[in-house]
Formats: sequence, structure tokens, C-alpha cells
Amino acid sequence: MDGTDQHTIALARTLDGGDVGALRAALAEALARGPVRLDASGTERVSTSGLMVLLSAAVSARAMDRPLVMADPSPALEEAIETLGLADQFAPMIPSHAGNAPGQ
Amino acid sequence: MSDIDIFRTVYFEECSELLQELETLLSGIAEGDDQADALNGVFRAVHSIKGGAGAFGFDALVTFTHSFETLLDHVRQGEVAPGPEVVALCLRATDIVADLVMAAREGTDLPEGFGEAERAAFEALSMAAGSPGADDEGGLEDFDIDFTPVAVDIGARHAAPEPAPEAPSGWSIRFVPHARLLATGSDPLVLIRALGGLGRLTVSADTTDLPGLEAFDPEASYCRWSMTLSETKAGRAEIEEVFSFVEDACDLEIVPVFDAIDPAWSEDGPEDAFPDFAALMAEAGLAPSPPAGPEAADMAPEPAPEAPSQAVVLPGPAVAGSEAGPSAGAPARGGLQTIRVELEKVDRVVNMVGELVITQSMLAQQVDDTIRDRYPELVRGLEVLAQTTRGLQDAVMAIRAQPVKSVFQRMPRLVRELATKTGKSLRLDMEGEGTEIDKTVIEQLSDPLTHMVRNSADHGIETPAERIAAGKPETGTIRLSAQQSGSTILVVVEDDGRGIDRGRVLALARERGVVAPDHTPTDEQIDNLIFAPGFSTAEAVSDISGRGVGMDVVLSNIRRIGGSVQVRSLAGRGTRMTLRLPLTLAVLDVMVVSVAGHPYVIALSSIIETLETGRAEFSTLPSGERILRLRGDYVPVVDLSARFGLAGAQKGPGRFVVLCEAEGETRLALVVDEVIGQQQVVIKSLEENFEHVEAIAGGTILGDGNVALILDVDGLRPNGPRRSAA
Amino acid sequence: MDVLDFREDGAEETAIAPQDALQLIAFSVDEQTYGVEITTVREIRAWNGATPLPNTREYVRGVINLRGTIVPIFDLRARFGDGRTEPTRTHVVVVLSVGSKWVGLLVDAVSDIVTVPRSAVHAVPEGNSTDTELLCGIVTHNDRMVGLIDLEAVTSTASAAA
Repeated sequence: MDGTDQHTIALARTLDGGDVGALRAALAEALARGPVRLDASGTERVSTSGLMVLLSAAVSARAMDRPLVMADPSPALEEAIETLGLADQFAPMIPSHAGNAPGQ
Repeated sequence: MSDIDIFRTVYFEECSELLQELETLLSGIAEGDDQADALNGVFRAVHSIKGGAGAFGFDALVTFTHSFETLLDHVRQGEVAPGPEVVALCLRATDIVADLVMAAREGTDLPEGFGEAERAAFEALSMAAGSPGADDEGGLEDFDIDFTPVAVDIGARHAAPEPAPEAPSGWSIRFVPHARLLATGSDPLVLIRALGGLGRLTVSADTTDLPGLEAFDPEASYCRWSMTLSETKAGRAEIEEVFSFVEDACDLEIVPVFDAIDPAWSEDGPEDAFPDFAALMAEAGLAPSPPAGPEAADMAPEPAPEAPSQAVVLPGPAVAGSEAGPSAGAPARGGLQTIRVELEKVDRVVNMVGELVITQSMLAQQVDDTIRDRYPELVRGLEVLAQTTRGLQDAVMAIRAQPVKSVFQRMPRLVRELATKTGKSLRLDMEGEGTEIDKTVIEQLSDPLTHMVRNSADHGIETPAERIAAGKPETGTIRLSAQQSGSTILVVVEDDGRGIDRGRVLALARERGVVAPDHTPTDEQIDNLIFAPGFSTAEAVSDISGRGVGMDVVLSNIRRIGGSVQVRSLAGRGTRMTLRLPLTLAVLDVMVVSVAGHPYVIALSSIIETLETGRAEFSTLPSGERILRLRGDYVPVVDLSARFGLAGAQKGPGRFVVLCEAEGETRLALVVDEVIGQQQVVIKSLEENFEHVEAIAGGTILGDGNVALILDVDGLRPNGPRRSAA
Repeated sequence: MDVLDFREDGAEETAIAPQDALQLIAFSVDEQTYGVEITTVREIRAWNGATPLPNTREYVRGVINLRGTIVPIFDLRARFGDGRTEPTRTHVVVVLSVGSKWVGLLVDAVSDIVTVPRSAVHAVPEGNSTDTELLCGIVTHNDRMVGLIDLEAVTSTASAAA
């Protein structure tokens, strides 16, 4: 598509405490290989640590200069991001949000 | 609802989700799903339930889930093999957890030693696997700690007296969870959500400590929050209550905020200024350092002496009268995207939308050519209104729609219990749990479905010995499925049991006078006799399917909500019961007809076709009863004007026949004067202010404001409903 | 201070202590006057037709739409066994709440609001069974007899005897 070897990781239905370790490993591995696209459309339940690992991936991605985008976040995910006041942190990852990131 | 109630409600709702998930995962393991993944999920779910239970002090639940979790941990570590008996034990344990959760929710007591046997079984397995204390970290000890609230004494810290002499307009809250908060299964998301229930909450998160993935520890806490709660009636106590269960696992500061007074705020975009300021304020904790930047000069704080905290913008008397009210301090930055609403409130909206639909159609009917010519703007407005009303109706109904899962999820446990009671080997397959139906229909579905599944387990499925003798697999299967089909939902309960013993059913029906001795019903009619009142084919009345108060309840419940039940059976191969339910009870698609100048409506779902009387072939039986001959079939005819004793009905050919499908696939030809058209109506009860009227299912209000009666097609049959199987 | 207990009703009646007062809406059917306690009356509306219910008792005139709720209409004349009313637009429906239900009574006209002392309510003389069944008392107002309607009995759907 854009010439790069982009990996898509479909996020699980739940991103709870117990899922986070595995997700961390999967994200680290994918970022090591190239740009990563997260398909977040199917996530129905998410915990704070679930969001943290995604943001942590963004930190890594920035450090590695690897594109990391989150496509099509599910309503549950959006709600959790809003509730936890993490919209600003997630804005760079979510293409549709980049334009209207509040405040900055 | 107090905050603690809200918090508990959230916990219990999560518990029911988690329990459902446990059920699914454990069933999956039993079926041979990928065990490692599923086991992690099971462990996590039990852990989450335990976490909340610990926080709320539900000791029995904590004790039990702890043992459960310990066992699961051994299984996860491969020290205990997840064989069928272990999985069965886990399923039983899930039921016990469900009961404990229920008891905690209802505040009821369970019998002494409830679940002890299972717990002992866990302990024995765990013991065999290794040291019983293998899970000491993050284990029970966490929950045995007395919750000593770490009350953050803001007053002392700020050397200002508390309580504030005047009510603050809001609160600034700084919340820094410790790692332990996460480890005990609490989630800041839940806490902040609960806080959001107290008022308008602005949240800003600081994630600067967050490392990259290589250093990321799932158990660590990397985020700290600064929040501003405004437009709230909550006091410090209510806020502290939200965090009361995690007080020892976080840093918490709660500082009152007084009205923002600088008009510049409201003019210069509080969206930018406020979160920064809130963060800054919280960051500072107490420091009254004014924010840098041009605005800072304007809002140079003028500390009022009585203010408890200097950190906040304080109302200066000179400007207190400015229009910057509380709303100025409440930036309109995206709030929660989901809210919990009492169903009653939604119901009220649904009802009002129903009325609106009627009013709108009444208005639309008033528009004639004169009005169209003279008031084009009015007519355009009405068209927009019609569109908006339809959209509103769809949107409101979508709010109340729910997946049938909420009913289906109760069935696995039922089947397990039935298997234990009957000594049969049962297996339950479910499909289409995601199918959505209006909540009011779902509520009516639970009892009938329970009866039907019980009936299958009790009467349908044979004993293992009988099954083996019949060359069938030892385990009987009950299949439950739901699917949408147009504006109806089909719920099917199927089993691979012995089928309905028609000989016995018919003999019993004759014996009880349900079927006349000289009448020979068709197979299908016999099958449907199991829904006749007081009918039970169990030779020994069993403790399970009850005393003949089962299947007729199914039928009456289902028919009351405009649905139907149908049963098909193949001897020796099984029985299939099909429930047809309307998608919603709020609106009904109907055909409006008129008889003797009065409108009546017939549910579209029961109409097969309409034809003019001139084109219909009628014959008269010796009894005088008229029948319609239609494509080689004979259908009983009911002339509504005669049936209802209405004078002034039309005579002769220009009338209409509405061919309807009644109960059990029988058909009925209704003769009416006119067919007026199709529309959607809102069903109104006649019983609410009156009583049930024979052959009438309810009323509705037409566009002209008049009441039209909804016909109960089953009740119109010449011999009345179910009086004879013919 | 005794003025406080005194209330002028403007009528010829002597003052009635508020706790003893019975306020009635009086209405007529033929020559007869009936009353119901004013607190039970929800609304009075002109007759505008009703949707007939099939196969129901003679005195049930049908149902009307009262702001989205379906309310049954009882024909009081027919209820007293004097045949169905031939209603015109001057006939009146008195909407009442009886228990948790709302019902309408079809009457000829509403005549008055009457305040009488509760102590002035007489028992219905034994005799005509319809009267004893459907009335719960009798009061006199302006020399006329006002029959107090026993709403439960009149609108009872269980008793199909009448």
C-alpha cells in the first residue's frame, strides 16, 4: 500500500489486566518489524493498564521512529480514553483525532 | 443513588459480565479450545471478581474466589491438569461464585458452609499440586489488610480550616494510584467513571512516567490524574467514598474549587485554560503560583481570607457578580461517551415518542391540496417532522435493544443443574446470542425459554441407557438459537431426544377432555397440544418441569406479547420448538380495516393475504358455518360484523377477506368492510383501566385521535382458542 | 379567635368544618341527581363518541383516548337499568379515578359543586337492589336528593349481573 511492511494487530475484545502482558509482547515484536496499525474496532472492554500498554507502545514507536496508528477505535475504547483524560495522549495515534486534538 | 450504590452497581454489572465470560471460557475449554488463552481469561475474570469483592468486604466471595484462583493458578502453571473433572469443578465453582455475587448484591445470607465442598476440592487439588501458599504475592493477604483509610487531611496541609464557610463550586482531585491498586484488581477507569457520576468531570492524565514497551510492567502504575469536578452537589465525603476502597493504594488529594470569576475565562476559551490550570493547581498541590501567560495577570488571585485553599481561583467580591457562573468553570471538553440510565426513563421516552409518532401522523393526515398550495412552508416543515420523528423512533428503540445473550446466559447453568437432577448427560449449544431485541421483549422471554429448555431436558432427552440402546450418543444435545427474520425474532429450542410421544399425548388429551373422543387431530395438532393448559405428559410429575404448569405458561406469555410458539417433533429423533417474537413491543406494524364504520387493526405479522369478497369462493357447511375455499384448502370464515354484533356493516360483494394465520398454522378468513391501509401503531393496554376483552389484544390510538381495537386473531377462531384441537 | 373555625360558604348552609366537609360534583341523569366526591374527578369532557367494545355489557359504551391512555366509558343510565343513553354533544363524560384505574361516566350534564357535611350523608334505604348496590349514600341539597355513586360498584367489571 504505502510501500512499507505494515503490520496490523487486531486488538482483542477485552484489554484487561491479564491480557496486557501478552499484548505488550505482541506490540514489541510487531514494532521491531516495522510500522504497526492497530485495529481497535472490536474492543469491548478495556482497563487502564490496557490503555497504558498502548501508550507505552506509542512511546516505543516514537523512539524507534516507527509509525503506529490506531484505526477505528471502538466506542468502548473511545469512552475509556475520554474517561481517563487520555484523549491528548491518544490523539497522535488516532488519525481521525489528530485534527481536533483538544487544546493543542 | 448514592455514590457507593453507583460504584456497587458498576461492580455487580461487571461481575455478571465476568461470570458470563467465565462460563463461555470454561465451556470452551471443555470443548477443547486453546487452553492457555482460555485459562488466562478464566484466571483474570476470577481475579477481577475477587478484587472488587475485597474492596467491598464481601468476605465469603473473597474467600471462595481466592481458593478458586489458587487452583486456577496451579492449572495455569501446568501443575494441575485441566481434565474434564477439573473443568466441571470450575463450572460448578462459577455457579457458586454467581450465587455468592447474588447474595452480596441482594444482601442475603447463604446457608452455612455454602460452597465449602468445592472449596475443599480446590484446596485438595492445590495442595496436591504444590505449596498451598504458592500465590502469596497478590493473594489473600492483600484483602485481609484492614482498610485503614488514609484520610488526606487537606485542611491541615493548607493550614486552612475545613469545612469551607461557603460551598465550593467544585473540587479539584489529584489521584495517583499505587501499583498495588492495580494488583488488587481495582481499575482507575472504574473509579474515575464513578467520579464522573457525581457531576461534570474534567480529567487530565499525566503519563510522562510511561516507559516504552521494553520497560513496561503490566502491574505497575504509570499514570496520575488531575481532575476537576464541577456542577456537582457532591461534598468531600462523597468523593472520598468513591475512593474509599482503594484509599490505602493511592495518593489522593481533594481540594475545593471556588467559582472562577475572571470573565476572560469564558471569553478566551476555557477549553485551553481550564485543564492546564487544573493540572497546574493540582500539581502545585497548594502553591498559589499563578499560571504563566497573558491571562495570568488577569486572574491574579486575590485570596479571600476565608478560603480553605489558596491554590484555587478565588472569588473577588468586585467581580463576583460577573456572568461567569459555575458553567464558566466547566469546560465543555468531551465527557463520558456512555451513561447509565434507569430503564424507566428510557421507557418514558419510548412512550412519548410513540405519542409523537401518532401526533405526527395525525398532522400529516390533515394536509390536503388546499393546505399544500396555501402553506408550502408548513407542509415542508411537516415533512421534516415526519422524517425526524421516524429517526427518533428508530434511535430510541435502538437504545432499548439488547442482545438475547442476557437471557441465553442463564441457560448453561440451568442445563447443568438439570443434568445433575435427572442423571442425564446433557450438552447445550447456543447460537445467535448477539441478536438484539427490545428489552421489554427480552424480559418476557426468560420464563418461556426456561420452561422450554426444562421441557427438553426433562421430557425430550432420554436417559443415557435409553440413548445408548437407541443407538444415539450418550450425551443429549439441546440447541438454542436466535435469529432475526424481518420484524420478528425466531428463538428455537431443539433437542435430539425421543420426540413427542403422540399416542400418549392424544390419549391424555382425550382423557382430560382437551380433544373430543371422535376427533382425530393431525400430528402437528397433537404436538401443539403440549401447550394446552394443565397438560403434562410426564408419567411421573417431576420436580423439574413442574406440575403441568409449564408449557401453557409459555404459550400465554408469548401470545400476550404478540408472539407465537410452534412445535415440531420427529419420533425418536427430537423436538423443535420455535418461538416467534416481535422485535419490539412498543410499535406494531398493522393493517387498519373498517367494520361497520369502526376501525380495527390486525397485526401485519399474522396476515397472509387479503382479497376481495367478489373473488373469494365461499361455501356453507351443514352447520351453517361458512368456509372459504382457497387453492384447494378450506378455511373457516369469521364475519367480524356478525362476530362483534355490529350493526351497519356493508352487504354484498364489495367487501374484503383478510386471510390470517392463527395459532399452530391454522388459518382464518376475516370478512371486513374495507381495508384502509398499513401503518405502525403503539399498543395500548385495555386492562390498564378496564379488563381483557375477548378476541381483542389491546387498543391503539389512530391519527385522528380515536381508539382502534387490535384484533386477537387466535381468539377469533370459531370455536375460540384451544377449545378443540381442530 | 373563634372566627378561625368559621367559614362562610355563601350558601344557605351553615359553616362546615373543613375536615367534615364533603365536596361533590353533582350531575344529572334524566331527572335524578347523582354525585361523586370531587377528589376522584380527573376531568370533565363533552361526549365525542367512543370506540365500541365487542361482546361486552350494555352499559360499557366503549373506550376513548384520554391523552394517550385508553379509558372505558360507563353509561350511567344503562348501569341503572334504564336503557342506553342516546348521547349528543351536550352529554358529558366525567373522568374519574377509581383505585388505580381511570374510568369515564357518561351522564346528561354536570349540574353543580356541592359541599355538605359528612354527617349529613344518609344510608341508602333497603329496597331496590340496584340502588343499594350502586349507591353508597344519599344527601339532600337544595331540597333535592343526591345519590352518592359507589364508584367501585358502578365501574366494577366483575359484576356482570346488572
